Amino acid sequence: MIKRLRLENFKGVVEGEVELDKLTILVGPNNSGKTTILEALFLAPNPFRQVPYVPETAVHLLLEYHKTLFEKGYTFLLNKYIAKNMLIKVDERELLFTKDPGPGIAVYTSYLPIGYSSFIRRIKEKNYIYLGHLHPDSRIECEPNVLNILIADNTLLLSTKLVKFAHEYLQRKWIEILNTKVPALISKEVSRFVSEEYVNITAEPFMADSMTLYVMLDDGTRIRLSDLGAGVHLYIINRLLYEHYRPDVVLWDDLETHFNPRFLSHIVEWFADLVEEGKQVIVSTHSLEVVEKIISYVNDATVLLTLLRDGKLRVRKVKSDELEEWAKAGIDPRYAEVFLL
Amino acid sequence: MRVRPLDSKLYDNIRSKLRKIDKQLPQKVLADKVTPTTIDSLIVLGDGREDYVVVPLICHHLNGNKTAAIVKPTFTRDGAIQTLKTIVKNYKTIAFILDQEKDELSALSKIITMKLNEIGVKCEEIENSVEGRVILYECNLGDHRFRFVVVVNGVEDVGSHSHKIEDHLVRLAGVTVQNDSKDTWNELGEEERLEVFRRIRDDRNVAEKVFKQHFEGLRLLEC
Repeated sequence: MIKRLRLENFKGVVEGEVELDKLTILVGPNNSGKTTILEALFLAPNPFRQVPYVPETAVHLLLEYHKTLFEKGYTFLLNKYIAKNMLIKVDERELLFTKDPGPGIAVYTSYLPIGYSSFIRRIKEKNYIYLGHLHPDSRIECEPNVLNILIADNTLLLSTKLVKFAHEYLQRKWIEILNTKVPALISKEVSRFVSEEYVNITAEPFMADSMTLYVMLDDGTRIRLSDLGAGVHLYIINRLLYEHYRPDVVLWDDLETHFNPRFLSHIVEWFADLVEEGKQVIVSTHSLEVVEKIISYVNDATVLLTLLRDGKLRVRKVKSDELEEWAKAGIDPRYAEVFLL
Repeated sequence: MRVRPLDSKLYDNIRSKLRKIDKQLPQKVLADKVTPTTIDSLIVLGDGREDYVVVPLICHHLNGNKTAAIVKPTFTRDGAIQTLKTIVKNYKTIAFILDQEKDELSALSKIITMKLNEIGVKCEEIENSVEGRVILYECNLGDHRFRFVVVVNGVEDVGSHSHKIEDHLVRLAGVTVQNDSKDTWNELGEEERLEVFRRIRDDRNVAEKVFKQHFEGLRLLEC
């Protein structure tokens, strides 16, 4: 389990630290560092590892996710695009990104994984092992054996904005998913919350063009996943990704987006199951309804109220009884974060 | 003075009501910016509905640089005090606005001090003005010192058997109260009611005369 995350000069966070639990809920205003925390956790195990999206490299996926038009390079990872060094530290293991000597960004770790060897560089009186390089033209360079190492528990980032990157991956890997029971199980689950009865998920050509993912109804009709309601679409994709990738840690950004409360309860129940299995779940949300739901299913879930002040990440752990007292006093932490932090 | 509601329901209540008066008003009256600034004043509404409009409008006439947080606890009137224990430590001055209803002002003052004592607040009355409708207390909760300003809604000679914020509103509307000012106020059409609110917004002198205790009490948050 990832217990602690420290960030230095990563995106909008100049400095900050969060303590994480088996199930952690990040709540805060816009631009308060919630997504940044999740993205750092997504990179932390190894920015060069393969993830279930296209592009398949974690750091490249983040580049595409943040890209507007034809931008290149990874400077978006660095605070204000100019910081020379950036650090993601998970528990005691560090991931250091440095522009020195440039061009591009070299990536190092303080942790030497078993069976991995590379050159060692001394930075700020500490030994770091070289992992790879992020070039200004967006190319990624690393040794093949870097792809498989894990510096921290493996994480999977789920978000509405990543769905399009997941589609291509799932279509490519469909042969590996096809004959598992997973598509049928997910179809059945989703059917509880919609008027139709789904029996399976398939990948077939659409209009004689490339492969497309469908849900299959009990009468044999197919509906493209992308033509379903946004919530159903998002859940099916995220669930397929999870079942295929089986990460140690699920990171879900903006959990409330697109879901009816009943469907949300089902997702939260799934989180409770994951935690029972020993997995870790970290979600961000703007919805107190989501927070209350999660606490009702997972009593020891931790709620973290986040705020960025002059680049410094401020975090307050909120107890469930505190939330209740605030509610009685007419205080909603999403409106009062300034006073509570 | 701008107000910053600390809860979504109150925020939407205030915002939607202000918007009906004037579309630009919410931006002028509400402090939306997340940038952390020190906010050391809190307004606690013991009663709702029209207070949601009147109190922010009066604040709007006061110090433009100041922001006060505003809450409407789930319990009404003096019951709201029991919810304050967890939050008083964040503020130097707290204004508590409630309806007089049928209580004597002196009895109401005793109820309030008793309720404050019940949550562990020690208080001492420092000032009493506007015929007992504004009471200033110096308070302590543990080692936190704060000022507690009680503002009691109601106009004695308006002819209502129960005194509340609507006493002030019907006076501004220039209508005669038959029995209860709230009923009289509710009998007015929406546009007539909005016109009263627009008068509060536009004519500070008139507003200050009719809402004397509110101006007096809320001004204490400026210090």
